[in-house]
Amino acid sequence: MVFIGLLNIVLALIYRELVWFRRFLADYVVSWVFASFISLSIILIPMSISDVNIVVLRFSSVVGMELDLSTALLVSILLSSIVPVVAVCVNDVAHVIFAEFKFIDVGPLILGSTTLKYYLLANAFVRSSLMTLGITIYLLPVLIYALSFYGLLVFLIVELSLQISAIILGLYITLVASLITFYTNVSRPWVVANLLPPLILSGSGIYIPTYVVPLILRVFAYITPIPYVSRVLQTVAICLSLPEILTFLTVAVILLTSYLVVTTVFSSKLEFRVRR
Amino acid sequence: MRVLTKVFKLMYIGTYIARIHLSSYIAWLVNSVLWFIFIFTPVMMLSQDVVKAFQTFIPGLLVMSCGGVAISATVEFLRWNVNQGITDIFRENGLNIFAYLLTGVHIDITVHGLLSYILLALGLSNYLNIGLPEVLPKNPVLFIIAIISLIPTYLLIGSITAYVYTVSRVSSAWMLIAQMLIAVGTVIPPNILTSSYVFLVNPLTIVAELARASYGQNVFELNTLLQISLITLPLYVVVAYFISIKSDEYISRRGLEYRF
Repeated sequence: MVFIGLLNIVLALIYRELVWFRRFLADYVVSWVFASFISLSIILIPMSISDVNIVVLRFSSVVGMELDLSTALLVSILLSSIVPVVAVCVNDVAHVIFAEFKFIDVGPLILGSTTLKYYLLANAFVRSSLMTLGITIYLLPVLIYALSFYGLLVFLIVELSLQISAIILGLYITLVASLITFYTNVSRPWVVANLLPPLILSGSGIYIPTYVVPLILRVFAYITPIPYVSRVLQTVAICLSLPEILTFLTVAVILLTSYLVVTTVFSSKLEFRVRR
Repeated sequence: MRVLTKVFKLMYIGTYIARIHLSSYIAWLVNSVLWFIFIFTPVMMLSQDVVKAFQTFIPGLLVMSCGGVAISATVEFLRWNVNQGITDIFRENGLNIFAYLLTGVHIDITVHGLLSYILLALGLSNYLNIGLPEVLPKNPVLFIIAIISLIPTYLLIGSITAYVYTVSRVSSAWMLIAQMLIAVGTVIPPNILTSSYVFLVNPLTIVAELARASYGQNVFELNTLLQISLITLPLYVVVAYFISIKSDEYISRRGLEYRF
């Protein structure tokens, strides 16, 4: 068997992800519908029993800027794109690790071809990144329709912010999933992976002020970049708020470095344990 | 009597299956409550009157959630269980989708519906500082009627899903979209159109209205609602039974493929 390096593992994972994109296209479409459904519901459902202006005014106070109805809907659409990104990245990165090393048992094949460290890192980066692109691509026509050329710039900023966040989430969930897969004997490990997205999202206060969120939920959210990326997405449709972007980038660099170092060291140690 | 015995036997089997999956049920419960808190806290906070929003949307959510579980249970029987041969075992013993829905209806309504509703109500009241008197239904009898009415509606939604899934080539992804569409008339109250009765197209609307009526937030007039319920709810069981038979006949003739 040929021992292959990081680049070839990345290429193999890109190939698999592209094949899966074609195979699960319907699920991607559902994720676009789901995100749009949430974004419209959060603004429009309260209007069924409340005055439109009051709903928009209250949403403006959450965002911290004065909005009209159409801008409020656009901000809501941008914010809702975080939901499938968190749900899919966390679930799918974890499920690959659970499936390949616990259930389908192709782990020995992977370990025969490359190192566990390479595989886990490549999985965290490639799956998160490509799936985020697939999940958020619907924003491009929406933003161009709503904001014309500025929409393209907004899409690039949103996409870049979500890509960085997804990679950090990928590394974070790789740590959690590896701990569960290789150090415990949990028979239904997906339970933990399924629980993390709503915990992170509820704790991030995406549509509500963070001070309302209980401290225990905030703990889960603030070890991820989601609260900070949501702040970027809240403002980017209206203006390019540099402080928000810089805050997000600073936090992202700190989190990315930390998770990358921890995952690399951890997976190197894990490699020895798993091979033995 | 024989029919009742059969129903209880099926529910007994369902209870034991649920016991095997107890950890999944607990995880699902926590999971769904957190998702609902994430989505419905902003809905409440953006509304003019938080208490009215709670009493209007959350009973609807209880009903929508049960309808969604009925769709999931059907897709489970016709998709996931096909792969494992469980659907065949059921059908070889003369049990169709109606029987499968009966095995889990009491668990799904109690755990996925009522228990998640109670936890969500406690969570949201904590988030939004709503007092306990506002969280509890003003008319508990109507609330209990709504919960009981969920049984025939669950069976009907499940049977319709089964029929559509077997006779057409729709993928299970469409079922996820259907789970979102049933929000119309349940979470989204029927007052958004001038003719509210259009919303009766969704069978869950009647039950959602009964649940809302227990809080005094119903759109349909209560007497009309009770009269409609008396006619439609027994009818739902009969229709669900015959649709299930049709769906099963179709599977017998054409088979059932495992598809995405």
